[in-house]
Amino acid sequence: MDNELSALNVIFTEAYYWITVVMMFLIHVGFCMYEVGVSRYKNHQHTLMKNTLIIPLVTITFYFFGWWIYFAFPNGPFITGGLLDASFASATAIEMTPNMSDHIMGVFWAAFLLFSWTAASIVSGAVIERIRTGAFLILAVLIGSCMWIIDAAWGWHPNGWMVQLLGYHDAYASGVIHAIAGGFALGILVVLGARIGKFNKDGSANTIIPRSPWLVTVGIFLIYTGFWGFYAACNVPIYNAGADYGGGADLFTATNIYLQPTTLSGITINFLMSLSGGMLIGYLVSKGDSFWTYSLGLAGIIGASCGNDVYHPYQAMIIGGVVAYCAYHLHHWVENKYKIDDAVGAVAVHGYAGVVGLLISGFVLWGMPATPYGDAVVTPWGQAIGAFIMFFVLGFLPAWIGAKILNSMGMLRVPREAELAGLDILEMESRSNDQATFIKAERGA
Amino acid sequence: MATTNYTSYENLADITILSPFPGSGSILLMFVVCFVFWIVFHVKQINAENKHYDEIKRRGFDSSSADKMSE
Repeated sequence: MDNELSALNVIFTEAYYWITVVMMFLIHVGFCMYEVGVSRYKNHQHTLMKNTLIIPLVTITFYFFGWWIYFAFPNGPFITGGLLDASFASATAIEMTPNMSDHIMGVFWAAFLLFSWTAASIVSGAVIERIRTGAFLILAVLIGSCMWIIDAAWGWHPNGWMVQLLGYHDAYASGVIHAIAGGFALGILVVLGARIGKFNKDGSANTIIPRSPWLVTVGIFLIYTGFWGFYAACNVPIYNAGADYGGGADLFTATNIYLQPTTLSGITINFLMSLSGGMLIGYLVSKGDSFWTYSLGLAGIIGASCGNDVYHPYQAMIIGGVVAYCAYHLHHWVENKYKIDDAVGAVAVHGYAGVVGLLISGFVLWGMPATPYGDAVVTPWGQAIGAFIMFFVLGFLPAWIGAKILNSMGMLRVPREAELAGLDILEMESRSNDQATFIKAERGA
Repeated sequence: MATTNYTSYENLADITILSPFPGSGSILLMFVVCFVFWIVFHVKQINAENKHYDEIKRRGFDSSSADKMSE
């Protein structure tokens, strides 16, 4: 950086991503509060620590190999080409340490890392109150540092094979984060089974009341707040698209992750309109239930996210509403038909919403260029195949296989006695004894 | 003796990596240590978890135990 203008550009970009990282931290705070609010008192600490440990474990493994995957795997490999040289993003690269020759790599890595936490955290909520922490943490690394970043290389990289061959378009990660995480959660749930008492002998489902609806409420508000950072982090804030592919003359703009032009202003409107569509429909279909009103607001954003870089705000609102309606009814249909106990509705809010949003986008965006670097255009079949790859191939299948292996080793589910007593029972006993000892000492003083 | 590649800022343009022990061999060694730590963490955590659940099974808690303790 040998002149003020180029320095300003670089430092602005560095600060831009840094702010998105701090904002996205709130997503994880929100998920932790939300999960604890949903879980019963006897499982609070287990629930909290299971999600909290995503932070260190996904962070170090994403540094070890996750980031390298993003740059090495866009061709598959062996679908449109071989493994790409991504030594600059490896665990031993100088770009991955403080150095004067690069100011962007670290904050860009961190933005993707926060997406990784989100993917693992989505799964965390679905499986609370009966999964072993050890098993979950292995599966969290699998989704957070392997599977989702493979799908990002395939469908969220300008040269990814899904973008180049299928015309896959998913600007704010309906499929890349949400459909895959929902599919992954479902893959575990099928093997893990329901919580004791969730279903009656006649097959009917019982509602396990959230311990603290207000903690759930604040948690989802924080997830909304962090989602602003998520949207901003999916953009490149300033890029000379004109000189790169737009006719040759300098023309600076914000772009989406594929380096296609968009505006921060436009995506801000669409974020709010899709949230509104989802919340309004959520309120109606759930008859004013706060849990589902908030959750389906999130589903509305998630469903419209794949096209929110270019949708008209009315399209964002309508799609948000339609997706919320589908997610709500799919959740209850799957729960009753297949006896799937998704404790927080994560499969519906993230998985089904992401898939339905992608299917709709194929028709709404039909014929739009999918990338500035090739001839691929968005089509209904390209988006449908993309949704299948995200939800099933990279989400459900690896989770189901991983859960099967862990289950066969007796490592997946807590013992029945522990589930009935509560996963924190020993800690509760210890606290109770400490309290009794203290009261005795206080009275004797 | 210096652990970094630089001992002053007189030739700032020549400085790239800022971390101490910047050689590829030492970075590789640090990577191996951290990678092994990651695996060891999983093993130790699962062992601790097994003991935790064995203790709960041995003590014979039931579904009313948590309610009694929180009263």
